[in-house]
Amino acid sequence: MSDVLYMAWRYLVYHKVKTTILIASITLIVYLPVGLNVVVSQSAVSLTDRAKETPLIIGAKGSSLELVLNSLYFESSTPESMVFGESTRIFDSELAIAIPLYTPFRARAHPIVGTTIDYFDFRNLVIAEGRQIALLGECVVGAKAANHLEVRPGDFIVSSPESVFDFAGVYPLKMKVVGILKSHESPDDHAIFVDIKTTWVIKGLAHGHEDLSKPEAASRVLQISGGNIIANASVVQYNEISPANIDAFHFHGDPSAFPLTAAIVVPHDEKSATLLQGHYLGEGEQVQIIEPTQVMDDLLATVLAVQNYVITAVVLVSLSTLATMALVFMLSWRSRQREIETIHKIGGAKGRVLAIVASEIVVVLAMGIGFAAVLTGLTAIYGSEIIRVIIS
Amino acid sequence: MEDYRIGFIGGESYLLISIKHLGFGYPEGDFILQIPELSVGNEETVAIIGKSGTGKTTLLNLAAGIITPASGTIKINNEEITRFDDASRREFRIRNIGLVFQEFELLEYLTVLDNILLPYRMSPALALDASVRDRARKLTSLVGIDDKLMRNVGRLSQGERQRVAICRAVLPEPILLLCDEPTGNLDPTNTDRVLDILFEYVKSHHTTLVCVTHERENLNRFDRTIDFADYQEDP
Amino acid sequence: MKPHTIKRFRAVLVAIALLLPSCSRETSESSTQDAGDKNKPVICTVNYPLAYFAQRIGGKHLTIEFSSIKGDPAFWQPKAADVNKFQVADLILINGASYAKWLSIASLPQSKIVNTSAAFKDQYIDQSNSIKHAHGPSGEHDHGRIAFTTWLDPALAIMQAKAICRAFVREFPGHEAYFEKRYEELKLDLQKIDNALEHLLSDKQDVPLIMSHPIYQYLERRYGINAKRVLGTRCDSK
Repeated sequence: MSDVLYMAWRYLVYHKVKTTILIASITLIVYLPVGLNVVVSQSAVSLTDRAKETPLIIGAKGSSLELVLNSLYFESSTPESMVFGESTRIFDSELAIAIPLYTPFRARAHPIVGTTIDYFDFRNLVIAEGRQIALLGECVVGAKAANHLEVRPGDFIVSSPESVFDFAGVYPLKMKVVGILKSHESPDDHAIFVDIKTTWVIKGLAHGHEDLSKPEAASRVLQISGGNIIANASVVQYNEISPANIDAFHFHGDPSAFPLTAAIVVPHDEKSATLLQGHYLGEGEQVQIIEPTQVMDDLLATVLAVQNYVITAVVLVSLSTLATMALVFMLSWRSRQREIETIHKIGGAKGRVLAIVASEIVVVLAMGIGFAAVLTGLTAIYGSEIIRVIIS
Repeated sequence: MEDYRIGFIGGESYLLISIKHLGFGYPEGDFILQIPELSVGNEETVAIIGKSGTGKTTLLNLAAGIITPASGTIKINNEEITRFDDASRREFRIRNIGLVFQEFELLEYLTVLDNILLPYRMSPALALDASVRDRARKLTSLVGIDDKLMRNVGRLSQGERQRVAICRAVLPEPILLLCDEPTGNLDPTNTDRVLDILFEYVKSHHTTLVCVTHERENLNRFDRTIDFADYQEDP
Repeated sequence: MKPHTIKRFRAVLVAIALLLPSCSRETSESSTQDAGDKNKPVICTVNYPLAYFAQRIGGKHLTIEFSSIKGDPAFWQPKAADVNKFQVADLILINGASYAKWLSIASLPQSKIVNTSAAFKDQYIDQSNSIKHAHGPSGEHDHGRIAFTTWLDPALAIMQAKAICRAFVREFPGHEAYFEKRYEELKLDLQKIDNALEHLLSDKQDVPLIMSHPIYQYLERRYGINAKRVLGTRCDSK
């Protein structure tokens, strides 16, 4: 048996190109449907788990899928914003707690998630290094984001401008890293967390500037009238919140009208959840309340349908590929008649050449399936990460 | 229809090959070989000459048991191979008969060493072990190709390829060596070299040699010459 | 002025003193209970009145924490470690009505915050024309648009205490009767103060009462006090 396998191996090695093409074809035929299934299954589990952990989400009316994806994964385009007052409304109902989220900003492709301390308890996020955010302008960073940005507690992260060309847009804010989160194997690992009020500072709804009532700021004052000081454009606005200037930061306007991307709603019990959902059924409602699991189930149903179509197409292509490979082996057999004759003449056992060719087929299949198994294994380990990179 | 009758031409000593009343014809029906009697003595070196199509190669194939006659008997070393079934003939052939072909008949995808060891990989009748490999290496050293063992045969010259073929044929230490125009594709220098190797081997190993050849200038090296043309008769 | 009027006036001053957050009173005595029993839920408050109410209601079942706030609680600026103490509390009682500006720069768990004046937002006093004043070394400042000393109105104080009681009952089940009973006792005390002040001041609406500090708005409104504020007054001035 080993002689047969050796001969088969030597033949395959000698015809490298043909062998490589055959093995690659088998690998693809096996890997494509299996790998796709693994990715979809993993994604389904991951999507479903994350959605199951999130009872309800409220957000502005519009695409529920976009709202859920942005709230759970901080990816996809930022949905229309709603007002912070809606989050307060949830608390006032005494049926649930609301965890506000504001996610329009990024720092070098990592989402900046404005939220409250409740988010960390809700997602069971633990500080691995440093401490929790305590004051305006501080941030804690997900494990993978920290590695990518190469930051540790004490370093600084600057928010990216919303648009390079929007000179009148929000100013980048320099935020102090006070903590690094323990890896959670979730989208939280890639995010930068700040207090919701810090994102409002980035938005320009709050700012800090030098004290205009002081003599040093006289050149920045246009007019003083009736207790109001009107400053000119040269007034220095702080782009970093530090212990020295935190007192100078103040909000303009009513916080209940400040923007949120969404709020995670955690009802106290099933009955509260039902009652709460009933509150948002009115036609005049500006917001929608949705169950992430339902949205994800709909998404997965669509994905599975597409997957089935893709697999059907792959199977059909695979059948034609297998037919082609069978033809290749038949032609190869025919071209080896001389070899068969030689072995017959020198007294080789009958069927030995057939055994060699059969072994070649087995080796090609085994290697193809083996490579497909390795690729599938790698997909199982890294597939979700690769998809996240592709999507972002 | 061509028909060749060959008469008794063997000696009185121990006969390695003994053919009697042999009749063979190809299925197409346009060629018939009839040999009333033919013998080759043990350790004898015999050259077979004649025009193309006279049945020289067919005779070698019959003697090797590659094809079977329609009638008559063929004995090799007193074994009546015409009675053997296909598997037995193959086993007998690979153990006892070495074959060298005009076209070398090497496997292009194997190295020199693997080609030489081919009989041992192709039949359970021969066991490949360290002593066989050692013997193979010594053979290559004798014929001057020991520095090319791991080279694919496609990269060898014609003369080197035939030397590989010879090594393959003699490695199982056969009692009979059948060569079908072994120098037909070689230049004069390689022809002499190959013939030297063959004769040196058969002499040192007491092997019987039957060689189909077109080169009359080398006939004097053989003990005996059989000319198929002498026995061509009109139908 | 008649002697009984002077006596009543002194009583008013005493009552006010009980409910007044002073200009720069040190709060070293403001920790109402030692944190010796670490198994009890911890309640953090932003000022002394709320700490007092919480202690009166929570009693032996809760630990009330107020000691980390130094200086005037309304203008206290916390460090990160101070905020962390609030973060790990089981409940955080805030006054509402824009009290404690530091809340706008601190990161606190919203689910644990109880706004004790949320139920009477419509009764907040808007003081858009705030007068700046100065006292102590910090220089001039004002107290913001919304008046925040809501507890000076005993009726509002009772509502704040009620909010605290409801929060305790919701968050720490099993002691409802205990909390309710103690709330009722506190309510009775506050009502007594209210009645006393009402009785004292009901016929004094024409009598001007000089206020050293622009923070008595709720007291003034409750009893119709004819308050006169002194501009630029300093606590340390004679």
